[in-house]
Amino acid sequence: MPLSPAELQTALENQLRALTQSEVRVENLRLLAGGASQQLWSLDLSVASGETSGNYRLVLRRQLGGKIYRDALDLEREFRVMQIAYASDVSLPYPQIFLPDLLGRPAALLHRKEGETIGRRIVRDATFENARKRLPAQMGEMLARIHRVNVERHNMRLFLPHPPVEYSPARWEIKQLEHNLEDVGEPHPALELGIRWLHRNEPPAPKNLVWLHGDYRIGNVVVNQDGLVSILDWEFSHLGDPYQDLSWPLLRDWRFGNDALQFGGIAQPDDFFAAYERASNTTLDPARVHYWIVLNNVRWAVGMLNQARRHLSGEEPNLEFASLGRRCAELELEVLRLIEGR
Amino acid sequence: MYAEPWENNMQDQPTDRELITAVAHFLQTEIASNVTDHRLKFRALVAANVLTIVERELEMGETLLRAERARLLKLLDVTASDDVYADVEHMTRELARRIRAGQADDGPFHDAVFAHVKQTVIEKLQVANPKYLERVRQETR
Repeated sequence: MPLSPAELQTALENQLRALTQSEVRVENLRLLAGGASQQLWSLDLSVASGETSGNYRLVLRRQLGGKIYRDALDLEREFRVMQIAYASDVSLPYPQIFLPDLLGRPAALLHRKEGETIGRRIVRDATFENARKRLPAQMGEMLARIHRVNVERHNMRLFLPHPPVEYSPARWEIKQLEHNLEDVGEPHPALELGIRWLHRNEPPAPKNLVWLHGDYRIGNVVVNQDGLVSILDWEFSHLGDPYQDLSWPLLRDWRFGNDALQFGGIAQPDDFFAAYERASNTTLDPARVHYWIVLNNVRWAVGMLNQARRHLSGEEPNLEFASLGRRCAELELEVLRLIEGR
Repeated sequence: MYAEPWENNMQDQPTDRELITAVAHFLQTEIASNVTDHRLKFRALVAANVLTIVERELEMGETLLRAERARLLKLLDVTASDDVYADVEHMTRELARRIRAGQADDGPFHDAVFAHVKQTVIEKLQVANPKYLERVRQETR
């Protein structure tokens, strides 16, 4: 879908002029990342007069279609989730405005946070040595903040995916993984063994469903020399078991090659867990962490297969997606190692 | 070596594998190290890596498929047809079905299934990412 920056700039200025009742100027518009499912642009905005007058450093996200998991949020719901997070003192880019129709597609303007997001750099670069010491505890404390948001008060059941009452979060996830594997159509005995193990070791449901970020890990956080700046990528938000978020940043695939350090390739998870426990006044159960590490590995393996299908079906021809079909075996080996003899 | 199915037609040199190696080398040295756009550079490296997968598959794919079939025939106690690929596909589907139905939860069948599945995953990684396989194997848990 070819779209020139000039075309986008004009459309954006027209909408913002109407919304702010002021003269506006969009400058330095450039594409940061773009695929068939989403585009990310960087831009500077100045509003000449009125309540919102001033200069803004922004990113524009534009949704084009295509999803990795069936229950990923659309941009409108993701924007709502970000507003709730912002109001709950979670560090994230301020969600400035949602535009339901920008050249035929939904879009959102968010404040631009300076910092690094690329996992490999956060794990390796000398610049982030101090940040690596602080990040685990900062991320643990921040996750506790997300998990204690009052789901009922924000009516989050109305717009976030959640397990039906008769299912525990784990069983609901397993059910979806089974259906998803059937849709993929290719047999994966290693993942089936993982799923059987998950059935047979299912933990009791948590007392309450909590709000989960859904993709909480190095790679989805903005980091500077002092550590955590903000949390990105809220599209997999849903209600479920807190251990799902707690174990996700520990997955081998999120260690960016630095496998010995279980928390994102930067540390052992002790500081992360301790900070979470302190902030949420709970004691974590290592057996549950292990269970959700297995579940999350199966989930990400299925996610890779889905991405490969987006390429294979012609929905979104993309070499990187195609290559994920062959990376699934890495996660299969991890699942087998995690459940072997247990 | 001329019995291998992909070498049935006599073509001039370079061979298929040599051509793939040449393209992978081109992507790594002339493209990835010269483009300044880091997203394009990343994709060039992904492309080069994908070609090394194809190279290894051309080298080992047939042998690994036959080994996998031999294990599956024994595991599921069936007889081979004359189509190796179809055999492996059918039996793997059957195996996945039985695991999901809970027929491989315990006992000697579970152990045999687990050993076969793990071996198969290792063999997939010998093609897809031998470096990863080596890294994980060296790790002591």
